[in-house]
Amino acid sequence: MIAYQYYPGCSLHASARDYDESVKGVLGCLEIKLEEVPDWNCCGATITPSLNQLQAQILPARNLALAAENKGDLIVPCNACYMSLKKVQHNMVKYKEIREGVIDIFSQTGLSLTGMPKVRHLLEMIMEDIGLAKVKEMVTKTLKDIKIVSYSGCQLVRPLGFDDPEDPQALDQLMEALGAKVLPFSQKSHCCGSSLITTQPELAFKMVDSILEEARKVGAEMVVVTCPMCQLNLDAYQGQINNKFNRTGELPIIYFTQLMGLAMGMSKSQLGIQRGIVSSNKALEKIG
Amino acid sequence: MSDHKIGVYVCHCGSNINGVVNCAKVTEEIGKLGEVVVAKDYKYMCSDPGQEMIKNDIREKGLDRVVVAACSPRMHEPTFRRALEGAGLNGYLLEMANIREHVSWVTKDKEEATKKALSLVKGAVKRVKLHEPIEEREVPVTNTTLVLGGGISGIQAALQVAEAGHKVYLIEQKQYIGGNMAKFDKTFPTLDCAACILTPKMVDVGQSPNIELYTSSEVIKVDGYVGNFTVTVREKPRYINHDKCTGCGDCASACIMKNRIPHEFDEGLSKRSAAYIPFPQAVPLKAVIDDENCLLLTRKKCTLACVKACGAKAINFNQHETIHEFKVGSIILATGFDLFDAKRSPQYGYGKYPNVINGLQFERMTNASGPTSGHITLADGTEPKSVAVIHCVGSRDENYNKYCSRVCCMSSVKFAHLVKDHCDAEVYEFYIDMRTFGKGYEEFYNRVQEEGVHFIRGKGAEVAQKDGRLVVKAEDTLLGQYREIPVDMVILNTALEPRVDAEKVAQTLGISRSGDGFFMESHIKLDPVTTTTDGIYLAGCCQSPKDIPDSVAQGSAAAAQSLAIIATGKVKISPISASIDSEQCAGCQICIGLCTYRAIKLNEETLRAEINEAVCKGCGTCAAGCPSGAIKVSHFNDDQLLAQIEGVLA
Amino acid sequence: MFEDFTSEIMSYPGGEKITACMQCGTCTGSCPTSHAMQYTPRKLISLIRANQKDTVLKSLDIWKCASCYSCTTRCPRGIKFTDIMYILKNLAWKEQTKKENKDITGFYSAFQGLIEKRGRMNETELIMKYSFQTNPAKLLEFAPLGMKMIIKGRAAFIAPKVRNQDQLQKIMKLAQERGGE
Repeated sequence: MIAYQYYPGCSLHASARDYDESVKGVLGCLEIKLEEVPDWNCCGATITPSLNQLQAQILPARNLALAAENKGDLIVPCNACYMSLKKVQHNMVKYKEIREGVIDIFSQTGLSLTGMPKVRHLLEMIMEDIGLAKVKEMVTKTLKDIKIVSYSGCQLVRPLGFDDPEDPQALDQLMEALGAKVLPFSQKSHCCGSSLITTQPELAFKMVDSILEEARKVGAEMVVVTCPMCQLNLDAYQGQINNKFNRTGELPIIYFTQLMGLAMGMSKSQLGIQRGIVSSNKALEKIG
Repeated sequence: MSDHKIGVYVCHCGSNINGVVNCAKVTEEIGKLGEVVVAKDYKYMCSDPGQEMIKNDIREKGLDRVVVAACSPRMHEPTFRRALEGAGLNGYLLEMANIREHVSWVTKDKEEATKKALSLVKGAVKRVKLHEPIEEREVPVTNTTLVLGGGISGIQAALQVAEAGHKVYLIEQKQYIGGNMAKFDKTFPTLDCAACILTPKMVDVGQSPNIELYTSSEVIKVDGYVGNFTVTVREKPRYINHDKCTGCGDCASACIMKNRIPHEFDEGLSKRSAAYIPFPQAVPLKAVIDDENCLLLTRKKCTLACVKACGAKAINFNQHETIHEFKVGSIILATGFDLFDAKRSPQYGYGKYPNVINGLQFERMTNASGPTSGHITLADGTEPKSVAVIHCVGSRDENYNKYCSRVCCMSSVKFAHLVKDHCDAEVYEFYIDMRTFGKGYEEFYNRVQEEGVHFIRGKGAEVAQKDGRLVVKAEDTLLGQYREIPVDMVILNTALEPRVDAEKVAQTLGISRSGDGFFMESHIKLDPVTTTTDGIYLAGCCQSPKDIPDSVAQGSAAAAQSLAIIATGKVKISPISASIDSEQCAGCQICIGLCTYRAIKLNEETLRAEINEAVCKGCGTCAAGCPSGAIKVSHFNDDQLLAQIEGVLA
Repeated sequence: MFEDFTSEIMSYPGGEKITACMQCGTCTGSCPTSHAMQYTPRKLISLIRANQKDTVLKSLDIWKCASCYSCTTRCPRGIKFTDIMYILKNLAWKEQTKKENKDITGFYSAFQGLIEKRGRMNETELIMKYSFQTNPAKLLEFAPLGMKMIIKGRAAFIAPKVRNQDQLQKIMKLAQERGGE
């Protein structure tokens, strides 16, 4: 059994409970053990870095300090948390003032940053450590050419991501391995505007609309995502946005782990699929 | 040992050195050293009065050693050696201390600089005492030239050497000569048709009695040294008997692979057969059989329709590759460039949207003998109503190539003109800076502006598809606004890059590449044609991106270099070389692997290493690597180097 | 050597290369919100280099950055413009924004306040706090969405928090003090 450390991030305990359920279900099936980082805290997302750069390093750095040195890589399911954690590691190496600032503050509170674990997105781990061959082996119920577009979002691939920042491939490949029909989609790594949706909805709504509108135009039956922020934005606000831009046709927004779970024979409720604001029932009809 | 009489000369180099180093103080201090009989500083030591000063002191004060503290010896060591020789002293009794590149240009701290300069000069003084007179050697040269690459600059060089009455071997990797220029339709700024000006030169190459042309060929080995190279060339089989083939093209029409293979010459815009004529004006105008797609050669199964169709009985499937060996005095490298693959910037949709094309594809499209017979058409066969041209794709970009590719602004402006000329569509040029620096170039830009082309100052950031049309996203920086411009066709003007095999070629020829990957010239301003290896010259885009006028000029310049060697009949070889004490050599062959210039060989009889002094550059790598200390380098022996170090540290 | 504001930006991590900008506008052309900006990313660089600190920090355009890093990835001169936007927001937060826009101030304060106190985020609480700080009528706008989330079991009612709140609060405070130097 391979073991990893797990940093769920705040959303997975609330608005993205379905993601958490499907992550745990799928990894359980794959006999992968996840150990949650003890007493983890919020990564600060895009808010803390906007207000105070040092605090923006401190928040993710505390999680890295709390993670164990030798209990495996740190697996992160949320694009925004993934980027925050990776960025602080990058900054600590690149900038002396940040490194010294963090170390100094931590030394006053009994935290230490020796032997930071490698930070990896859940999708990255599945693609690299498990591999498509193994995933295909695990498929008991193929997705029967259900038409999807894969939407990686921005912070999975930029600025420190593991896939091509302009034309990411991993999610496409994984979905194909499950038997889905992946449609060409130019919005793959465009931003959904999650950080602006509350304060400047007029900007974010337009961004979400471009993504959904192209997905509809290419004939997608669902949009597959890797991030709870993207999911919330595209799913929960979809009704409001469709009204505003006069669009018809609802698109279910589903986590890649949920489709993995289905293909591996798990039930919809085990995977939290019923929690989508836009229902997936119709889109998933043909795979039963 | 008797005392030496040393003269030390400290150069100000205007303010280049003296602005940082206190030259007067260095001179004063050094004058206090024993055996230094004269120490002087002067504004420009390399000038006539400067050299005269040294010569006079040698004559009048009887100097037997000279130290010049100035710029890098790469620049002026030969100058000062000549000065010494002018006054009757052997040129190798000179030592230079580099107090410009190594001191004044790399620090602002005047005190530290002066201290370091003084140390370096002290080292030079210590060292020069141990210098010995060395005589330069001369070797005769072979009066033939090898030109590698048959594009416009290689053609120019080959023709010029041939016209001067000397033999040229022209080696071309493709099946035809003409290079990229053969694909163009019109050329800027005068809009002459490329074929009209290039074809006569290609024909001249084919007909010149002094040029031996080898197509489908590549250089696999180069031995020897300036004046006396031996070059090994591999010629791949074309499966066509050149003497019999008439270039009629009947084989191509008959081939059962007809219209099934993307045609390289048309940049994939048309399909060809496996047996084909590269293009109607090709030199040599002979068919070729593509062994990667010919059914007989790949699957051993074919109806042999080509053989039946060939009236001249020219097809021969039993051809094998041929190895040729040529003795040449010099080599001209004109291997050209590769076009940046726009798929590396996925944001532009190249390879995804059929109406996003690159510059060479557009050239083929506008060419009357091209895949669309000169019509600018979209994938569905209709004419575009609006076209965008995006500059700097893969150029001026840290993510790909930092350099400016130099030809794209002008070719983009030419594309705009050709669109207007062929189909009167709206044209939008997305540029960062408009660089139209050549003769007649700005005037051409001006003319195209007046033709009604929209010039938008801002780099095209992304090409998307919206409602069935392409959309270019960019900031109109002069307006300060984000804009989305819908168009039917996008031409990506992509960077000129070093050829994919540049490293292999550099290793085969023993030459260097600069940071951008192109072959490196000896001096970027004063010797842009010579490589760091004597007798190997550069022409055209293999040295850096350049347009046709510059490629032709450099081709001529390289030819002049070759002809100069031939005219002299002999070449001077640097006398600084390594030598092996065969008593001490253990035959371990470590030095053979270390030598970049392939100057060392194992004597199969004695099992000791031997150095070819004519090839040896005196770099000293072998001497440093020799475990038994059997190798010595003249002018850089251990005693001299230790004395220099001692002087610096004193 | 450079104008004061340029030097200041260059002194922060990520701001180093601002003088290398060649004003090509790739940042603006790649930005999903630049269509709504008076001062586009490229123009902000120009304003910084022209020492127009007030104009830059008062502008709400800097708060339109979605942190998608497209500009950073594509910049042909290697300028980390997303990082520069963060630097500008940091400076504006200290000096300007609180005067200029209630919504931005309200949301960012509410979020930061929750983190500094408990160490974990609760979306329900965030929205409530934000609405009360800006305009309680906003709660009505959020209500339909909130209801849906509750029905789907995607809203948490118990405020999550880290166990070692003292430690978290202390490191955040120390960072705040150091950042204010």
